[in-house]
Amino acid sequence: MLLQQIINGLTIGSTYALVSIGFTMVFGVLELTNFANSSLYMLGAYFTLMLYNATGHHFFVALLMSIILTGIAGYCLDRFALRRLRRKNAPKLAGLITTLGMSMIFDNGIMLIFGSESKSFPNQIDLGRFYIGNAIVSWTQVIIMVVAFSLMAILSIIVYGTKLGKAMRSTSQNVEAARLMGININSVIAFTFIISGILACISGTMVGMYYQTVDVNMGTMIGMKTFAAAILGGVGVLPGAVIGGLIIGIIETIAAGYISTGYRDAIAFTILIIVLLFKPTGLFGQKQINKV
Amino acid sequence: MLEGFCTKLQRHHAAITGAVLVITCLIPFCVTSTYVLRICVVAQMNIILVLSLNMMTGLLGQMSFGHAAFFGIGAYTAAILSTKLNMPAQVTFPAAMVVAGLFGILLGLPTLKLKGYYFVIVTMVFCEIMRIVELNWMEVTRGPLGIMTIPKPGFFGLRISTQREFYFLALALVILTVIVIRNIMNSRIGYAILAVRDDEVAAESMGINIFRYKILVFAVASCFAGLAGALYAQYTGYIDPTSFTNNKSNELLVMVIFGGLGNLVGSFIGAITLSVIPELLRGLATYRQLIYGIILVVLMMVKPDGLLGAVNFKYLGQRDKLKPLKDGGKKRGAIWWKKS
Amino acid sequence: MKRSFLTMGMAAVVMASLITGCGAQKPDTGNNSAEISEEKTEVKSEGGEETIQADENQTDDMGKNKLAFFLPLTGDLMQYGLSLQKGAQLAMDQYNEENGTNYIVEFNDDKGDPTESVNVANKIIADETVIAGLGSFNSSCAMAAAPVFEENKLLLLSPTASHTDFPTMGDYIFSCVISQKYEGAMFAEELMERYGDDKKAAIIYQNTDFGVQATELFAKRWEELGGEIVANEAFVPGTTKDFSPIISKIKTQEPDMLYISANYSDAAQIFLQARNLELDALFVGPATCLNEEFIELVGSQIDGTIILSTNPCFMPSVLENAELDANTEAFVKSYEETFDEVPDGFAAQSFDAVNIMMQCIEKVGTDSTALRDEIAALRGFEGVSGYDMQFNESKEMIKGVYVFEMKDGNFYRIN
Repeated sequence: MLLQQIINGLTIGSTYALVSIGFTMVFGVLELTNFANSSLYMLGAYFTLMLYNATGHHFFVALLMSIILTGIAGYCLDRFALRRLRRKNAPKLAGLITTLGMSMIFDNGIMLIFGSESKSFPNQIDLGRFYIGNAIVSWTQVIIMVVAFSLMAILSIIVYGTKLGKAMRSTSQNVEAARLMGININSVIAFTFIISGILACISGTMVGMYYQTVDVNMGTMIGMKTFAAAILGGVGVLPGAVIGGLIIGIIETIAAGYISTGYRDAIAFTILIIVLLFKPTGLFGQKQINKV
Repeated sequence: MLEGFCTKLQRHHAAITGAVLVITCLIPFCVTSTYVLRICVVAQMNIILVLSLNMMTGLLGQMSFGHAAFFGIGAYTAAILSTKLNMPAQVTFPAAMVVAGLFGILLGLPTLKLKGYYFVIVTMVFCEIMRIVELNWMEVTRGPLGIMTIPKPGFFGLRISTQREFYFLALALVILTVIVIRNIMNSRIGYAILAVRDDEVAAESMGINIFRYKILVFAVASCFAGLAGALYAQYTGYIDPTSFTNNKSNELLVMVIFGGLGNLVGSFIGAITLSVIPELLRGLATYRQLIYGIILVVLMMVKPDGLLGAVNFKYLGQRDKLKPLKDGGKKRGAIWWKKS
Repeated sequence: MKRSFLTMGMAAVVMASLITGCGAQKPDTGNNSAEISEEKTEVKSEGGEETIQADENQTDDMGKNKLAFFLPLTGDLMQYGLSLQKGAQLAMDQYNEENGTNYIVEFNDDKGDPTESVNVANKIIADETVIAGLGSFNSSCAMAAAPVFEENKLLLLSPTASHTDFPTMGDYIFSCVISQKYEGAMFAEELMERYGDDKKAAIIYQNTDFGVQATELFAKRWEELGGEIVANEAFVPGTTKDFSPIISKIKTQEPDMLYISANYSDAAQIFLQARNLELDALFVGPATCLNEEFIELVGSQIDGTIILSTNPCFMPSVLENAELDANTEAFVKSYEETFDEVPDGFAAQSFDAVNIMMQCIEKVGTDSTALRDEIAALRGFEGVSGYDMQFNESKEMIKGVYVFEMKDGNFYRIN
């Protein structure tokens, strides 16, 4: 049973990891707690479902269009709300509240349009299951984990290996200095938001396929877990977000399986607080935080 | 324009405070509708919550997303003490404050050393932990069934049962909260707290023990949230964990920010406005959260500091006093301006 | 000084407008019955329009000829109110047609708001021609209005109020909904009778007041009947969609039966994940699953699942497949003819409520006390919202259990 529970935990953890990568990336560049991240994730899943039905069940066409749309949503979030704040030199807090407001708008907007019921979501990658000992693993679980790790790898390459990544890193270190170096701050930040939107869309679609349902609360449900995952790994550190997600997932599963199903989240969150006691910057965060 | 108006407010603040107080005391005698009075009591309860949260976020600068947790702890303390042990209100109310305050210290000790955004997440997570505990600890909280038939409060044999009596009880608690917070903020401690908010490093180098002040503020803020919780529990007579979720925390924070961070007058405006508007918009209940979201985003774009966030009454008062006399040498303001 | 008065005046005006603003919103919220009957004439005329009246009302010896139904005809709950209205109207029309009488149902709008329902209740009790009250849709409205009826010794029968405390609010207060208290125990009995060999049951329930109450009584009765509860796990709804840890844990206990009490989307998740984790047990689901959305979520993946309910299912696909009893068939047919749509559970409940009332009026006349005793003595009523309906000693409604089985992604009634 332990093996089965660990596999369950890794799967749940991968879904957290998928969403928290996007969150930690925005955080790395802007030092902004993006509450709207999990709303983008929900939005992405709904776009895919909507387009899947609209295009006559062409899944990959729908996914591609949905990625573009969610990317645009991410861009709009920055362009129409956050950029104004940056121009005004508003306090960091204002940005946080704005994303909170945006997430309320997204969530409730979708709810008013689609209703709050769960919607059935097509599973395009149902390849059956296989056994490791007594434990059952479905291929969907494997795919989710593979996607999480490859997205992390791709993003790491972008951030640490390309010129654009260099611009992102320098923006995160010092906005003024980066501007003086000729970096177009606004486009760098816009780009970050577009990427976080794309990530959110992919993860929303993956999770939707895994559970074969999407609902309006899927974002708020996962939101706090992704914050916890990012914090546990050390905000701004991409591999940290993935590892943090997996750890939270496993703790939660073990807690549910061996201690109490009612308290599963409480136990996971308590462990997060305890870890922060000993490592206030998270597991992989350096004292001098190594931002994106 | 706003500044001019606020200067006038400050100049006559004693008169205005008096007038508002008189009007507030008259309301329950002019209004017979229990419905309106109920809204008033709820608004007053929110004022206590928002004031205490504002002390935490606006004056100390620690963004707390978990204020509803302390509200809930206070409510459950009062509910359990009064239903299981038949304690009178002079015990349950202070007990709710103490227990909530202790939890505040308990959470503050490990977390107040964390950097801002870590603290945000931890308070949020704490609120969720408390909700889960309230839901699952069946023996004590009766979980989702909630605690029913909580007796109405009685202070030393004085029963509070009608809406009007509750109105005055809530009013008294609001005044208590204002006096305590005002006195703290006008004392040496208050200046230290503001110094910590503005620049921790500078404050520390001036010999201020940052951590001690943070804990102090956190404890006081949680205490008053607990007090509001006790009022809520014994007023409504029924509590369950759904009233103490992160949504409630967010709602309170929205009220603080709407009125203006660090501005106590703003807190009144925020709490009253955002308690009354949803009642007026009852027909639009489904759009309520959407409207909240839009208010937040628009407010941040137009006035990132909230309605009165940029207004410093103390400063306005002093400036006004020192202004050269105009208007034909008529002395003005001096009578009303005594202390700020 | 002048300015200070000006500012004070402004403050006063602001305060005053605030107060009157609140006041204007709800002018008549007090439980004051005197002023209300005048205020509410508007509602009455609204009700009058919607009541399809025959010629001049025929009155009986007491001059009473009216059932007063208060329900939400505007506001968020409007759709349910309209269903109730149609069901009640249909029942009354049919009764009048068969018996050549001229009773009427008067519909009053309570907007789904408890304060409003108290106002309407006061209006109803002031009307001399009312035999009994019906309503409201939601428990909170019905419970707010109940004391008014009780004080004035007027019968109140709610077709839909499900709160367990509602029938205990007074001697004249009845509900047509089975109390949650009994549902769990009855399900345990039904399951034991049907699948008596599967003694080891595992329970997963949502940690809400409904989930806790429903499963507590199920578990108790199940063990009394010789069954065994091998696992009893709660989950907090709205925090996760992943039940695999709970299911893996349950699987090690090797249960024969998996009993779920949750809303339909969580139940669907649990069933699907249990199937994926190859939990070999009989799946038993709650009545909340009896809807199109559940079918859409699970498709035909969990065929063989048993769904228990004390209410019949009015989904078109189920109606097509089921062999209906004569009552239900007649009801569905006439409802479709009259309103050009398929009835729902709420219409059926209000149809039954009116019929119960009329059956009793026919027997004992319109005297409230006699009516009360007659209704409390109701046994074996064959309605369309349940079968074998009766009130027990504490005048709570008891109904028979419907058992549905899932086959090819559809529900089939098997008892």
